[in-house]
Amino acid sequence: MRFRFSLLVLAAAVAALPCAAQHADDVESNPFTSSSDVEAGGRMYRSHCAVCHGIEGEGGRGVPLTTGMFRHGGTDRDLYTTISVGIPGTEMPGIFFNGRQMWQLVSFVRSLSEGRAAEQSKGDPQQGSGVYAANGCNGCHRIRGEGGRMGPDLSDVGARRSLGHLQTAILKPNEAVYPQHWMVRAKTDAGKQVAGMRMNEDTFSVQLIDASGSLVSLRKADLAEFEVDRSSAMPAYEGKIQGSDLDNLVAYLASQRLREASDATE
Amino acid sequence: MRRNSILVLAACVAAVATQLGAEVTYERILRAAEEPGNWLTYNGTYQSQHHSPLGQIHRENVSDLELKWVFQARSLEKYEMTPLVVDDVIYVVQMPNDVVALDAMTGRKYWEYTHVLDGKVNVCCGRVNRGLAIHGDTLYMGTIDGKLVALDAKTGGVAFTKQIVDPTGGYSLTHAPLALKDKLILGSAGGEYGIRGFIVALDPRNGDEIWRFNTIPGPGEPGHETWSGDSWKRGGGSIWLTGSYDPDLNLTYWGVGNPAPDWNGDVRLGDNLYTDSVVALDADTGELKWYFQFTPHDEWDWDSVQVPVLVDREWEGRQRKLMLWANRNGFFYVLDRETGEFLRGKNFVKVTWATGLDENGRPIKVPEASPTREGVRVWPAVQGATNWYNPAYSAKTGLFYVSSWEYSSIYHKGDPTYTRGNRYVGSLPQGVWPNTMKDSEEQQGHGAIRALSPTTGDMEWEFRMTGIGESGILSTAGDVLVTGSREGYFLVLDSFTGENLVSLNLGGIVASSPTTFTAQGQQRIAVSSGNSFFVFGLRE
Repeated sequence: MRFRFSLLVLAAAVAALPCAAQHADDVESNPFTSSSDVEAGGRMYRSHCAVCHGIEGEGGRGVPLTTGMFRHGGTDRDLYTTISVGIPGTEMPGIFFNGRQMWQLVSFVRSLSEGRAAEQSKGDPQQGSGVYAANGCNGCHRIRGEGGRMGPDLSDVGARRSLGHLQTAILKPNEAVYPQHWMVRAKTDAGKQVAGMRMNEDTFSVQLIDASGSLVSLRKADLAEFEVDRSSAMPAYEGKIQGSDLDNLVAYLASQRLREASDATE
Repeated sequence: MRRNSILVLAACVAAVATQLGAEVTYERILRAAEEPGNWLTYNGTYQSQHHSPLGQIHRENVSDLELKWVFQARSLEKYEMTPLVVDDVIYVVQMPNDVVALDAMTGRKYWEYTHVLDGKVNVCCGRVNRGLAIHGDTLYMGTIDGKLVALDAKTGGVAFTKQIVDPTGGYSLTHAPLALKDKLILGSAGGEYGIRGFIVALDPRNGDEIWRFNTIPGPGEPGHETWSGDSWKRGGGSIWLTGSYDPDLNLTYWGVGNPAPDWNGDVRLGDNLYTDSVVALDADTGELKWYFQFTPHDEWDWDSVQVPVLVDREWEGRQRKLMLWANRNGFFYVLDRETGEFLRGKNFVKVTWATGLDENGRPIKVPEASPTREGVRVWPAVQGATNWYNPAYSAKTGLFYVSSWEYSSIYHKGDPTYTRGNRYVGSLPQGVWPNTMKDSEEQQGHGAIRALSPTTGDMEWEFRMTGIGESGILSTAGDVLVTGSREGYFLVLDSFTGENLVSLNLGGIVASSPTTFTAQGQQRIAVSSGNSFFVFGLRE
């Protein structure tokens, strides 16, 4: 405790120093929060971050940054660490700016959600659960160990995708089909038909999961026919799920999180 | 007492067993092809053909390869190094900058040098090292914290260390120095950090500088006029791959990296010499004899740090000294290495940033291919048509072999902000690796090993991959090519046809050059995969 307390005192003292820029790596709270800092952070954001997180932080390949909720920690120091180190096991790389620039980037990321209410679904998650069941979504998708495996697991989808992205995925699943969700259709030299979701592929082999849930590995040299279908196997629900049902379903999916994100005050 | 006796005995045995051969003189490296059991310099020989005269392992018996041993690094970072092999001892670099001496026959360790980095270093693309130089009985390594480290090849003892560049300014040393006559030649990485690049010759006795060539010319130096304003001060032009040498011409050839910032050329108007060029320097003085710029005013990050491959062959009726170069920008070039004259150029992948090359080899650019705020799709992609991994040339087949990538990126133009020691790039293109994100059909891309004819520039054959290759290529007198893939495959191909003779999943990215050597007279083939180093030989 004493050690922790001392660190906090030290950090506060450093942050208060006029020469904070020289020690910007070490402080806990952001010493660069002026409007010119936000502006400078915005320039870096547009160059390095917007490709994945969207020009306005609306998300896309990366998570939305407009909610004020940050999965890997919402304190200034957490954001600083996430941006500078990256997130292991994801496509989020570390970005090597100096301390001042990094804090300016943190300021800009904060500005994306400040003054904006966190994106809220119009629907009711509980009602959406019924829509999910009624449309047989669990035939292909799995949530917390329940359901099929031919589609993406949705247990944590609310933490990864924006509301807009979820709605589009329901109505127009072909808008964004990631390589790990492509389908494979093959016929072996012995005449056996095999189909399933492509889990991996290299020059010599392909690994997939078939409709029975079996994990299958095929050697391409043993195949008479082999096709990778890059369109979605999911039917489009445009015109089929709409109105409050759609809002409720989106709300239900958005509520699927394996753990809660931290807000800025945590 | 008994323990002491064993130690004494062990010391005596070790002293005999570890006795190294003669020192590695300049003359030995000059004639490296005459002792193919060794691998005395980063590119095998000064000509950098990555072709070995060893032929014990050949097309007919390569299926009898078996694993002889594995060396696992005490690091989870990937190998990008090519080892040196000197008289049955292999010198590998364990990431980031530890050197380990291994017995070529067993893979057992003689000694290990551990380098403690001097604080945090900023490197663009991993804490990598690509290899060592040996001069006499001293090994030399450039470190990512900017030092030249000299080690006794017999014990790993440190002869000296010398700070060559300042890592706090974004400078780092990642490539193997070139031991040449009584000099070590090397340059600095850091093209994404706004460095001002250079090539230096150092005294192997103490690291003192003998000559320097600025890859970004300053005021009063030829080429300075190709930089607007003071953009030259942070113009990039890094060196991160070892050059070649022609002893008859006494010229050493080096590929130069991208201009900084990478994707916004507005702040550095002009051709930006000598970025994306090959420079031919007098080995004794560092004087520039000629240069050839592959991509003037680059806006796509097309470093020209490929290995200069030196080939003597007939060209249009007469014997000529040629340089073969498959560039990151998508074109395959044949140059006269005496004069730098452009002889032929042809794209070896899909190219949309230029419609071709003019009679002098200068690209005919497509203005619409320059990066924009909104983003513009251009072939090849940002990692290039090929990159730093070495090509190979076989005089027997007359073919040039190169690891090629077919895919595109969306290039954005951003606002670069220079602060010392930090990234200075001006954007980040979309589509850095193929097969990692949803995009159009073309975006998915693929890799291939391609055999190119220097005479026509045409592709003679290709071995197509589902993924991509990040490995160099080794050619041998056994008419095989050895390479690897990002998928983790160790691959052996027929050098005449491209037929796949061996494929074995080693489980990690192959991102260095395979090598071959002998262990007690028996040919070995070595390839690193992930953080492990695999050595194969024929089944006994």
